[in-house]
Amino acid sequence: MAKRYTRIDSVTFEGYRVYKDETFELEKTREEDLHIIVGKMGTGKTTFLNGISYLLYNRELTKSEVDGKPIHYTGIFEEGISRVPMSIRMTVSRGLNQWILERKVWLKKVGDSVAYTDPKVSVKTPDEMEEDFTQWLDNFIPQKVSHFFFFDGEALEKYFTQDKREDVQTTIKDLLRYDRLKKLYEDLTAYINEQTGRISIKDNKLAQLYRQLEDYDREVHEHIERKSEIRVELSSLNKKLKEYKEIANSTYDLSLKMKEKELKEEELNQKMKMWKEKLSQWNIAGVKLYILALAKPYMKDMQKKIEERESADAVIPGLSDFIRYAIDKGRCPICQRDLSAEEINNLKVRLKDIATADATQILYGIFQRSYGRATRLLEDRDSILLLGKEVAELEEDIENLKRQKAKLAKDIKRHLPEEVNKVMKEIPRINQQIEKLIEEREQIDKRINELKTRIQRIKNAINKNESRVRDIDMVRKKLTHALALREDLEKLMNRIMSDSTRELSQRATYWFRKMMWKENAFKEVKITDDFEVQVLDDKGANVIGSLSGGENQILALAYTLALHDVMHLESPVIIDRPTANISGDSTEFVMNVLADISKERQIILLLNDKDWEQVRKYVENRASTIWVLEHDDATSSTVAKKVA
Amino acid sequence: MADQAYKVLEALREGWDNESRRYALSELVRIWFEETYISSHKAKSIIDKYVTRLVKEEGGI
Repeated sequence: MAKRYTRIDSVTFEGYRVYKDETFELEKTREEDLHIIVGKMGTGKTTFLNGISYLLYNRELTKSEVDGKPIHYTGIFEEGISRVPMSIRMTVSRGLNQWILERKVWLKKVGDSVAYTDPKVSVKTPDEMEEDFTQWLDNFIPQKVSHFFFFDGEALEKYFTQDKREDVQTTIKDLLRYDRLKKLYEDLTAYINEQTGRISIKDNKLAQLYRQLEDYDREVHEHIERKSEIRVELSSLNKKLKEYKEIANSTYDLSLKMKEKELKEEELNQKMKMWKEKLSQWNIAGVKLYILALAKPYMKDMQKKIEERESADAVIPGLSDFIRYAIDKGRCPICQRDLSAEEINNLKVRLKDIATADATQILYGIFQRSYGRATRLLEDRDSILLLGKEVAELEEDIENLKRQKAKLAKDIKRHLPEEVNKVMKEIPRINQQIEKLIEEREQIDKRINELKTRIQRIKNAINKNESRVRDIDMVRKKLTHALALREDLEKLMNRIMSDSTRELSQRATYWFRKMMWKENAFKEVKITDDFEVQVLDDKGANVIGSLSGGENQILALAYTLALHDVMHLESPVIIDRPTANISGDSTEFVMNVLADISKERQIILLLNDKDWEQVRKYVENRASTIWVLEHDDATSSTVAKKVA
Repeated sequence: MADQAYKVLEALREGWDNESRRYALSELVRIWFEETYISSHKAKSIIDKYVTRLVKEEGGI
């Protein structure tokens, strides 16, 4: 059973370069899916390749676009028509599946120039089901590998230049879908990094929790120590305060007692004064009483004497003498008080009056009034006596008090004022300290409570985290496997590349030797790990530098075919002048090889007439279709004729 | 051209000492070749699935 591969069924160029409207039907009529297009220079041979490249990649291989736009067929605008399409259409199939690809641009004539619309590209199934072009192309021939499928035989040597080596390496990686492996490698690395991060986060978190717990425990311990210090300090301060207060109180008590004594003394003195005054008054009353006692025997007669208008002296014998005595001595004959000059003058006046009857009348009045008072005073006589006694007692009390005061003063003096001052100053300071300490203790208690809550919370978190240790173990195990997988993948990637170069070397040697007429001259084509191409002779020496142009072209072709083999590529290959520099027997070998390959994939060869002349005999009977391009002078276009 | 995984899987067929890991890796390679776009989230989830399976096979759970 024939191998299934993707092939180009037909290509149609409309209004493109030299093609007015040409279709190449590339049906497979033989075992070989080989197609040959022959044309002289300028007939559109390379245009075929450019057209397909333009259709697929929106760029021509030989970059001959004008201002980035493909050159249209010069006679595209027929008379009277100003808007025409330029399109390339290709039918591609794989087994029973078929797709129609088209890139179309509308052209409009504007004066002498032509305006292009944006190219419209599409890929459709025969029943008009549209597919995503880029995706479709990715499965057909992606642009990055297109130079392995559409190439100019003469330019194949470029693969061996140093700067192209990396391109080849990249291309091989692309073909191997190395990017996929690389992506997997990167994704695995990202996974590994994340798992590593998880472990370290968990480890760190737990360590952090333990650290925090330790910090909090230490803080609590410090606070408790401080509290105990505070307790000692408070106790000492309170003791001191008590002592100081005692000192202050005792001093205060003494002062208070002294004050009391002083008040008492004052009170007693006051009382004494009052009582003495009273006593003095009573003494005066006593004098009056004496006078009354003197006058009493005369009171009865006095009424009579007054009626008889007798003189006072007659009434009270001796009264005048009594007054005279007072005047002479200047002193009261009863109380012995010194009399003032004014009193003495008054007495002198009275002395004159006594001699009159009026004076007796007045005196009687006085006696009468005085008698009433004296009677009352006599009634108070016991009180007076008691008062006298009390005054004596009071005097004794005051004396006692004075003695007590002296003793107190002595006691107060015993406490030095500096000490008292110091104590009085210290007390508020100590109080302040105590308050501060109590506040500190309260703050500490508050903080301890807060810390205890936090400690509990951390302990819970630790428990929770520790219960996840199994989880961490799992992550660690996963990480180990992920690392092993990545290592395996790396090994695999290296192995694939090294397998590729080894296989590439084997296949390149195979094709090279198959196409070279000097079959035995070269032992091996070797592709090194960094994709350097070497040609080794039977002695193992690299002789690539001494290869002829034809040999180089064969080598390049062998290398390209080897690449196809290694990559299992099966897309159509279009080669422009594969034997351009090749001569002699090699031409036959090359063409035979290409014809042989075409049994398993489609090969389209573009040849000029000289090439064709040279190779015709080898492939004419093996090609499915053969086309000859001819220039039509009438239309200035190329006409493609299928000759076989 | 999308079937280049073949080559990789071919390479994986021999010379890999750990059978479970070889299977996991070939599955990952296959998926990575098949999927046009694998988001980092999805990648993580798929890798985790196979890695977890490896842990289980090892008797880790």
